[in-house]
Amino acid sequence: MVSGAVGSVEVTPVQAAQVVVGHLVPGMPWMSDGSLTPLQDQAVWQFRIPRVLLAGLAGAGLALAGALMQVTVRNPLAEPYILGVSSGASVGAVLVIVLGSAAVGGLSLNVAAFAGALVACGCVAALARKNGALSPTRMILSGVALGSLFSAITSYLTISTDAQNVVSVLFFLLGSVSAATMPNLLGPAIALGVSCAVAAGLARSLNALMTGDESAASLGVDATRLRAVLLVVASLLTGTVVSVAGGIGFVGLVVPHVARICVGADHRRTLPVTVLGGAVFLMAADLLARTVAAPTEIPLGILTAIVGAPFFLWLMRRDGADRAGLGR
Amino acid sequence: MRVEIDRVGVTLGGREVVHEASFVVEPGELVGLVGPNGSGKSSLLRTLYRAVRPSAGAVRVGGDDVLTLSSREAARRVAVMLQDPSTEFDLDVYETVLLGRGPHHSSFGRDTAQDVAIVEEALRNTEVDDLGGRMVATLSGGQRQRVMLARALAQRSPVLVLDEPSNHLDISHQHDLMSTVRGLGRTVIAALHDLNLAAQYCDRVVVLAAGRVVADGAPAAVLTPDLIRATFAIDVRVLGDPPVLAFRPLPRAVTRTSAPVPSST
Repeated sequence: MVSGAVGSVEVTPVQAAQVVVGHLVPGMPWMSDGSLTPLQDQAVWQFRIPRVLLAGLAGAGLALAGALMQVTVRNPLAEPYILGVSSGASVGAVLVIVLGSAAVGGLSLNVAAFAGALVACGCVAALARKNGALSPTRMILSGVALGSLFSAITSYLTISTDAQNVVSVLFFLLGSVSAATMPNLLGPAIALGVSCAVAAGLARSLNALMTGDESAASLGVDATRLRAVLLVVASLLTGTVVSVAGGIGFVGLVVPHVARICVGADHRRTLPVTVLGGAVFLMAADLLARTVAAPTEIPLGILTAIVGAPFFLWLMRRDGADRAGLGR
Repeated sequence: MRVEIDRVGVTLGGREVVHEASFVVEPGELVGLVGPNGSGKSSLLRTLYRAVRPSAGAVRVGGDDVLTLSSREAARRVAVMLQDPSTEFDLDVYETVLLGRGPHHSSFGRDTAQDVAIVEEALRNTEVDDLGGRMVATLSGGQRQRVMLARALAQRSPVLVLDEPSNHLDISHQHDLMSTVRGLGRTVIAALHDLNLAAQYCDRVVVLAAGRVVADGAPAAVLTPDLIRATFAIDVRVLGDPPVLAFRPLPRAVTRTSAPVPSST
């Protein structure tokens, strides 16, 4: 509501709430009695609310994907982009920006980015497979190597294009939720819903996987199969978010750690806190992104790092961080 | 529950580390698996909990090939006390032991009062009930080993596999562990380094050398000075009553591969 109220068109939080309720529940008196101007209504319902919702969905999605990737490769440095998802998406998006939609078969920027993300993930999965099993180390290394390759392509495309395109490219690379509309919320919403359901069902198995492959086997969890499921879920979720909101950094790496510091590493507690925390963090970051330097907007990815990094470092230094395995 | 190792072969990285190993563990029996480093003890045990797929033969638990069981059913039949858990993302002691209840739950199953009771009993039996809230990574090797035993006990499976269960334990906890395990009445297979411990607590001892079963029988019949000298390349005398094995290194010139089988003791 606060986010709905803040912006160049003046709206009070109460009015913002009235707009939302008015659109959801038909027949509310304030929608027709002239107490809200059409401009206010439009600003809240068509621009600010989709934007807030996208920030929430993207934050929750990236944080969840990060938590899943960290346990998949059993590495605290893992994040949603570790398998080259964002660099793959960037190539897709930048191709559209630089060469135009027609050059890539008429795909829109969002679809091209999603396709790029899937291609990257598919490559990593294929390269990391050996004897039918996905090795965590090979996943990380092929992800990093392919990521560099894709970044190089993106950089080349960026540097060889017109100056006006560079800003669009940068905006995508750093991530932003400013282009949100109600229809393009659908993809991330579905992906997040499905991922949350799958993750909730797997929480116990994730705890077992955390203690090692052999240990997981002795607890009745097939690490190879679980890892494949997690890879698919985390990649689709990340790909969907990145294709709409660009490469917002930091959320997927840090929010899961913050959740572990707060409630411990048992996934049955960590995952819900991660999802909620990611949503709240990114909504707050977006609110700052469009108010701090108003009327100019700061790309969201810059803000998440500027605000998030010091906060995380402070949290990490506290005693409670031992709970997240950060005590060593 | 009966465990049958039937002509099992294990190949790792193209090298056969276990060759046609066969033996049976009857329900309620405590069987010690002994053999020098690299003899294939751990590899053979891994086939029991499906961490390794045998390249030949079959492992049957309760009459079924373990590979035909679902992962969860296999874990309800066989629990394993592993050496060291991975602690990149650390759980506390209570949460770790609670993992043992996982195979008994469906995807969305919640912990029941029975789970809590079983976990608390396992914590008490292994004397780690005072460590409940400690993170596993902060424990000593011996404490961690007891937590891993508690986790395996909480699994409440009829078959228990122990891989070097006592290597970090002090002498009194070694004996506590073996008599606790003995008193469970479950079918137990334990890879052991300490031959005296094996002799004292096991119903039977299976000796593995270079991936093959070279002896299988009651400890007194199997752990003879001749066999020990041939398998472990160490001189040994049997002292006292109850008998205790006293070891003495062989002269330097005698290598492990050419250890002689002496004519008498």
